[in-house]
Amino acid sequence: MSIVINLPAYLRSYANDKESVKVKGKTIQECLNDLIKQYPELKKMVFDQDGQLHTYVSIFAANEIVYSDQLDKSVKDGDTIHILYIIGGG
Amino acid sequence: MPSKFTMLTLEEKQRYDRQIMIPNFGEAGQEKLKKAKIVIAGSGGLGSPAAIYLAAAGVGTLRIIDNDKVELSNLNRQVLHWDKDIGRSKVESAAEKLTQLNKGVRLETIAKTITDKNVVEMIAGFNVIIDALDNLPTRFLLNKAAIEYNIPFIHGAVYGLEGRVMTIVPGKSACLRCLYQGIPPKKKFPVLGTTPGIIGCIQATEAIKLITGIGKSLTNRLLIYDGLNMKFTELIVKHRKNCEHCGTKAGKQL
Repeated sequence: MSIVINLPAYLRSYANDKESVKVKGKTIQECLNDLIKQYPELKKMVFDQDGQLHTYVSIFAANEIVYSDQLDKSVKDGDTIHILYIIGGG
Repeated sequence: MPSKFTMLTLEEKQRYDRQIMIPNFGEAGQEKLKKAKIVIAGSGGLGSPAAIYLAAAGVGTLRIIDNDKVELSNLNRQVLHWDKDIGRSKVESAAEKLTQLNKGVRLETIAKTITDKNVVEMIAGFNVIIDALDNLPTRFLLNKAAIEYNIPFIHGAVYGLEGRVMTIVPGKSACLRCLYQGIPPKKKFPVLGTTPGIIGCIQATEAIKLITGIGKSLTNRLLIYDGLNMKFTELIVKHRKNCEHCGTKAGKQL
């Protein structure tokens, strides 16, 4: 199983400036865990101290928003997950 | 039937000829723009291009809200403000250029910060709100007020060479709070001027489409512009039932 996680510009510096990272997992949560395993500095940017998704981070799988209580949704080979960290610049 | 105030003059027909030619736009579309009242919250990187194109398109009334003064570090992106304007009120600087661009547009300038106390008077009676702010708390405040008062709200935001834009039609589409529920600590953000240039123009396009009734709005879709790779991505955002701003949990108090 190979899943790609796309990172927004704001988070790339926490993952060696990578725009996307290949991960392994059967669910969105497992894929995010694998991402954190590869780039531990991303952990504090994506999850809070209790291991919950930050309220200002949004996850999309198969181009559709996935809410924080739906991270157990399964993913299939070739899927792309997008992590969005809120931006507010104007 | 358009009133004598919204009927186009011969000069206006000539001025807007190229957009009147657009299928389904026509003189009726131009009359709708002439009658329209749009709030532009912020006259910086996003607000400058949005205001320029909305004024050029002949929107009847533009209300520009910004409490900042022009600084040297604004000039790489805030194209309504020039060297000579440093230290001047941004709304005053913006109004000067927009009046010269199109004297037919009625400009209202408000040099105030939007707060929970004044947000209602800032937007009441307007047809569309452009979110061209530079901070997240005020974006959420406006999102909630726009939903309460049933005014379409066009969100845009930038970071570096990345931009995001989404149109929110109250009662019909997901809102900004459906997309994000919280705010991280504030940090200074990097930005290349062309990024808000592109996003601000998309926001102006969305406003014009909503008012004239043409095309398909960017509702329930977040458009992401990645300037580094010159790529656009569209992600589907769904209305959250328990959204604090537009869901069943939404309160009536602002």
